[in-house]
Amino acid sequence: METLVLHKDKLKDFLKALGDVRLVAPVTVAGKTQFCEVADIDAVELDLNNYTATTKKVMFPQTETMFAFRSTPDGVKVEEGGPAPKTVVFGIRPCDARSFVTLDPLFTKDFNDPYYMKRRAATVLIGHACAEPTNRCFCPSVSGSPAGTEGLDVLLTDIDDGFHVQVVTDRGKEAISGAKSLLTKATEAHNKQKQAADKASAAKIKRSVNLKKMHEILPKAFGLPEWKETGSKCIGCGICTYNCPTCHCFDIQDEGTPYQGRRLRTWDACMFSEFTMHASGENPRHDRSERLRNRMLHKFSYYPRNLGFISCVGCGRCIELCPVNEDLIQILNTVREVCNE
Amino acid sequence: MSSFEPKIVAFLCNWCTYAGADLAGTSRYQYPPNVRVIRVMCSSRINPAFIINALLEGADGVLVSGCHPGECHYTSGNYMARRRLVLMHRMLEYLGIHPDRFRMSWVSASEGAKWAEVVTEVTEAVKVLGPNVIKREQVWMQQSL
Amino acid sequence: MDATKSLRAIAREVLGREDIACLIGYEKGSYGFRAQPCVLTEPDQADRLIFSPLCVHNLTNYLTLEQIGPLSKADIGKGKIAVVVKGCDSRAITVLCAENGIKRENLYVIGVHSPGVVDLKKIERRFPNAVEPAEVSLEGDSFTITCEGETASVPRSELVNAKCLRCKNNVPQGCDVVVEGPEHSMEDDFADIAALEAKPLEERAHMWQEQFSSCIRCYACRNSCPLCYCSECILDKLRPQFVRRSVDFPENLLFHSARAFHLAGRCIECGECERVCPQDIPLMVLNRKLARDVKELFGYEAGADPEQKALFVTFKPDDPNEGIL
Repeated sequence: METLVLHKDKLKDFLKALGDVRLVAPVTVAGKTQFCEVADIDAVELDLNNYTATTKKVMFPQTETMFAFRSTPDGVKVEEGGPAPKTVVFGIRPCDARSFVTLDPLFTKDFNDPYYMKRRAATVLIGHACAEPTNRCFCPSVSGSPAGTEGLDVLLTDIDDGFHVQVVTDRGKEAISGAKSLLTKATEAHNKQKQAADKASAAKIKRSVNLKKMHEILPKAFGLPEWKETGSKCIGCGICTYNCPTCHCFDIQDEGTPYQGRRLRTWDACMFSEFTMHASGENPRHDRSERLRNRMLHKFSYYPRNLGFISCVGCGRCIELCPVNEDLIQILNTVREVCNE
Repeated sequence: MSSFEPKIVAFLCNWCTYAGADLAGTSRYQYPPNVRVIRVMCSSRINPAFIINALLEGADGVLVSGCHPGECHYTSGNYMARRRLVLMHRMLEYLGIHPDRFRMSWVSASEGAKWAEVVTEVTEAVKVLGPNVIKREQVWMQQSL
Repeated sequence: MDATKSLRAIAREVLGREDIACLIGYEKGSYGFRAQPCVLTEPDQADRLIFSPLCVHNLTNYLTLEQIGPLSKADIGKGKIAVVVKGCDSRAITVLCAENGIKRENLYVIGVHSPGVVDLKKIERRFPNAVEPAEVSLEGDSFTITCEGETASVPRSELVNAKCLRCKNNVPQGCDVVVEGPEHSMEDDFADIAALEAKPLEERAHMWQEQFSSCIRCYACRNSCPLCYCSECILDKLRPQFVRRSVDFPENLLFHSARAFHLAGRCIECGECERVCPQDIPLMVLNRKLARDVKELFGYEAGADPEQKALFVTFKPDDPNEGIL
């Protein structure tokens, strides 16, 4: 589709021209980068390095009310959430945008999840290509790219005078239609600059993992003693799952009193011992290494076999944030090595 | 004076302050009707999480009251409570919760008049502060990011 | 380098013994400035061990994590667990033994005089995107850093973890064997705590609201803490449910105050909770406030004396009556 150019100085005007929408972008709150609703356009930060703040909450909030209930003299009244507000996500990285593509089949396959889908339908994703991939990134290993457009509606890439704007979908085109006057057609030179930028950033990715046939190798590796060895250093916190853009498990709870309250869903993490705890007190995955193994198999074997996607976009948050250097790349490489494949 | 009437949750020990509050009633001492009394067997029953929970559930102030030091029905329960709650009081202030929102007192079974004074003092102080803002969301339906 | 060598020699000897089941130590990490914990069982694995300023973790955490740390249920009773500790880590063992969390006779404690560990966030900002495993050692007052084929020297004070700059004592206590090195000890003046206390109440309230609101409740602070080991944590309990599962400021406030208060008089200030926090919440600013108040009010210091009982199971009749009507 179209390729345009946005001058550096016009970025704020561009954001204003997006119209009356909920704008979600990286901003700094209390000294740390958060991905959240923007009240003040001046606060949007694009020159940040890769943020670790999670982006999946845009479609899949950590705490989400499913319905509220209230008992009245006429019986119990149930109130459901309204439509999702029209949202533009600005400055999301291609890996994070791609995570929604891998999540879509999960939330639509057997059952259309109305909560996720209503947000997905109301949200336009304007991405920002990665100019400085970090030492945790390995998106090419999972068929991604620092300038990938999968899942995005519009992709911005840093070039000399500002941004190269690649319109990917019709929705993207419509979303930025209000900013037409700020954009100029990209010339051949601009397109060349973008290609050079993409090439340069791809060259900066140094880590990789060979995932060929991984979905078949992992089940064979199920009984290996190596799981115990690497899993014994896991401390069983939820950092890897809660910061992962593709982890999607949730818990459903009721809150309130018997007279009024709400049913909500919140994120849950397979690394917590309560995750698989039965009412009887039995826990089928009682060891931390078993839970770690399950997370790996879920991402690289069960999910691709059931839904056709590797449940990993190579953002490397789990690697960077893990308190004990539990490294997904190292684990998968060890598995391949031990299985001689 | 504003018309704000605070809700104050009072955890009273069964043996001293609860009886003291009873005495205040039978002796017809007047005191503000803002306290909601919860009777516990001993002031050391109070888990510090109760205090924050009471505030989150909508209390504007919390009062814990038990026997005077040395007079605990269980010998040393109130000494244990004192260590915990004095520290808790300091922590709450550090976290930005006004120290008047959580008070502790010693009121014996014979101190009906003191009970009336304590309630008056605590209520007046919370009235000045206004409603507690750190509350659990009671609006159940909401959109959040 | 010498500490590593001595450590390996000790490990080889210890792992050869009949009564030792395993050894928890540090090994080279998978990339950059990371070191990782490891569990060794055989003497010939001893050469995997390292000790350097990159060994930031408090390994005593593994002694109390559910499932008895690195051992599964089947392994319990097979022998003692040997563990490598720094000065601050060793105080965790003192507290754990004093409150019967673990039995000292089931441990073999290998102490190391730590020269101070690096602050990973600072060093990774200084030397970004290192992929090849880097090496760091302390020479004099500077860290010598070998990263991606280049060597640099940076003053210790610029990269060392803040907790090491107020380290009470880097000499591990109550060890079975010690790898010796330079000793140092300092007094924490709690100046930053006092400064925060001096601010207006509203400002503090705002600061904690901002910090706690960003918490995602991954419970890494709890799980990385050697002294958070209740088999049933009030954060997980559903009946009664103290802390709701919804993640917002009021629940997070309850969570963090419960966590901090449970560590009052027990926190040995290893700083693990703050180090692991993915949202950079200044948890030690809360923990140290309580540590200072406990000292001020009750003259009590966590991990100072193996004979002292836990703070909240003891009392003095003349404890302060502060603020009590």
